Amino acid sequence: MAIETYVLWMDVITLLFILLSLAFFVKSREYEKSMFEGSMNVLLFGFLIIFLAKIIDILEHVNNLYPSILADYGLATYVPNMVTISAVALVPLFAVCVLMAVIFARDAFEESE
Amino acid sequence: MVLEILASIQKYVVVLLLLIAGFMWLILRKKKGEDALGKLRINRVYTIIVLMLLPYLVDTFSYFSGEIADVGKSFLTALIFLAIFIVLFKLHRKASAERIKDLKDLLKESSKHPIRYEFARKIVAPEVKILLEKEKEISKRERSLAAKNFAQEKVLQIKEKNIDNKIVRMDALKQTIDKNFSEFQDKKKALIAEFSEKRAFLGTETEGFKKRDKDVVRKETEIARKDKDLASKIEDYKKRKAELDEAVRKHNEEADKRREEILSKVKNEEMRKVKNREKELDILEAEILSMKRDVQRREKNLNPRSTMLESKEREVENRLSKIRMNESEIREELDNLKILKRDFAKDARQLKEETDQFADIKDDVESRERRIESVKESYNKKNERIKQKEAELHTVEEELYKKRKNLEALEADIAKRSKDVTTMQMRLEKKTSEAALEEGKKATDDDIGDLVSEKTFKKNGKSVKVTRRKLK
Repeated sequence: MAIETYVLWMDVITLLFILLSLAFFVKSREYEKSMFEGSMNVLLFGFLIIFLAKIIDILEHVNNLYPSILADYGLATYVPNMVTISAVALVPLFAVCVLMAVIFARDAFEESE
Repeated sequence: MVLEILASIQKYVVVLLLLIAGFMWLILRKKKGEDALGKLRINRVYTIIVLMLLPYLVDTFSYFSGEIADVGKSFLTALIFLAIFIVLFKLHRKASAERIKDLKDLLKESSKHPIRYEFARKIVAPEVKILLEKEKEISKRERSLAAKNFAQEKVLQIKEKNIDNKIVRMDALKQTIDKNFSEFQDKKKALIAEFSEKRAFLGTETEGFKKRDKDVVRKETEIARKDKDLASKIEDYKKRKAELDEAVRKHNEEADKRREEILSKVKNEEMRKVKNREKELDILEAEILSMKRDVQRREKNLNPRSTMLESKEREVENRLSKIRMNESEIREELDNLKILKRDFAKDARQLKEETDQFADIKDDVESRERRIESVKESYNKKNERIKQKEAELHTVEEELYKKRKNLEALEADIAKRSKDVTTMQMRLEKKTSEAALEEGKKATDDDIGDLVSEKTFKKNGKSVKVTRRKLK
C-alpha cells in the first residue's frame, strides 16, 4: 500500500515534469531550424502520448488506492480498459514516435550536409 | 485474454523499438560528433529520451517483485523527464536571451544589425528599385511622347506652311488673272473705241475699204470669238479659281480636322497613358504613404517604450560594451590559447614524429651496429684465416725459396757438369781429330767407341754436329 502511494506520487511528479517538458518543448521549437521540424513534431506527439499514458497510470493507482473517488464519478469500470489500451497502444506508439523522431533527425542531419 | 497476451508482447516490442532508437541515436552521435549535432539545439533531449528504454527494461526484465519494479520504473521515468525538463528550460532561457538580444540590437538605431541590413536589402531595396525603374520608364515615355508630339507638330506646321504658300501662290495667280482680265477689258474697250472710230472714219471712205471692212468684220468676228474664248477662259479661270479656292478650303479644313483628330487622338492616348501611370503612381504613393504611416505609427508606438528603454539600453549598452570588451579579451585569450594549443599539438605531433623517427633511426643504427659487429667478427675471422694462410704461404714461400735455391744450385751444378762435359767433349773431339789425323784415315769410329747419339744444332749461326759415343 505504502509503495503504491509512493509510486502514485512519483507518477504525479512525472506527469508534472512531462507537462512542463511539453510546454518548453513547444517553446523551443521556435528556435530550431525548419529541417528538424518533422522530427520535433513526432517527438512532441510522443510526449503527448506518454502524457496520456501517465494519466492512465495515475488513474490506475488512484483506483487501486482510493477506489471510491473514481467510483463516485463512475470511472472505475473504465480504468482497466484504459490501462489495457495504454499498454497495447499508447506506450508502443510512444516508442514508435521516439524511433521515428530519431530517424527523421538522422535524415535531417544527412540532408544538411 | 488476447489483450493481456498482446500487452505482454507489446512490452517487449516497446523495449525493442526503444533499443533500436537508442542504438541509432548513439551511432548518429558517434558518427557526426558533438559539433555537427549542435545544429539541433535540443539534441540532448533526444539523448535523454532514448534512456526511456531503462524504465521499460526494468518493468519487463526485472528480477525483483512487481512493486519494486513499479517503483523503479516510475522513479526512472520521473528522473528522465526531470532531466528533459531541466535541459529544455536551460535551452529555452538561453535561446530567449539570445533572441531578446537580437531584438534589442534591432531596436537600436545606431547599431547595424545584420537583420536590419537584410530587411533593407531584401524588402525595401527591391521596392525602391521597382519604383525608380517605373519612374524612369514613365519619364522616358513622357520624353518620347513629347518628342513624337513635337515631330508631328513640326510636320503639321510644314504642311500648314505649304498650304499657306499654295494659298499665297493662288492669290498671286488670282491677282494676275484679275489684272490680265482688267487689262484685256481695257484693251477691248480701247479696240472697240478705236474700231468704232475707224469705222466711223472708214464709213465715209471708199469701197476699197469695204474689203478692209470685211476684214475688219472678220477680225471683229475673230476678236469677238477671241473675246468669247477669253470670256470662256476667264469663266474657266474663275471656275478653276473657285474650285481651287474650294479645294484649298476643303484641304485646309481636312488638314485642320485631321490635325485636330490626330492631336486629339494622340493627346487622348497620352493622357490616358499618363493617367494610368499617374494612377499607378498614386497607388504606389498611397502604398508608400501607408507603409510610411505604418512605420511612423510603429515608431510612435515604440517611442514611449524606446524612451523608457533608452536609459536601460544605455546601462545595458555600457554593461554590454564592458562584457563585449571582456568577451573580446576572452576571445583573444581563447584564440591565443587555441593557437598555443594548436602549436602545442603541432609541436607534440612533431615531437612524436621525431621520437618515432628517432626510434626508427635508433633501431636502424642498432641493427646496423649489429650488422657491423657481425661483419667485424666475420672480418676478424677472415683476417685470422688470411694471416694463417699468409703464414702458410710464408712457409711455402720459404720452402719454395729453398727449393729454388736447391734448383739453382742444381742448375749451377748441371751447368758446371755440362760445361765439364762440353770441355771433355771438346777435348775428346780434339783428341779424336788428332788421333784421326795421327792414325790416318783408317782408324774407324769403332776405335773411339760405339755411337750412342748424334745431334746437329746451330750455335752462333754455325751448324755443330755433336756425336756421343761410349768410350771403350
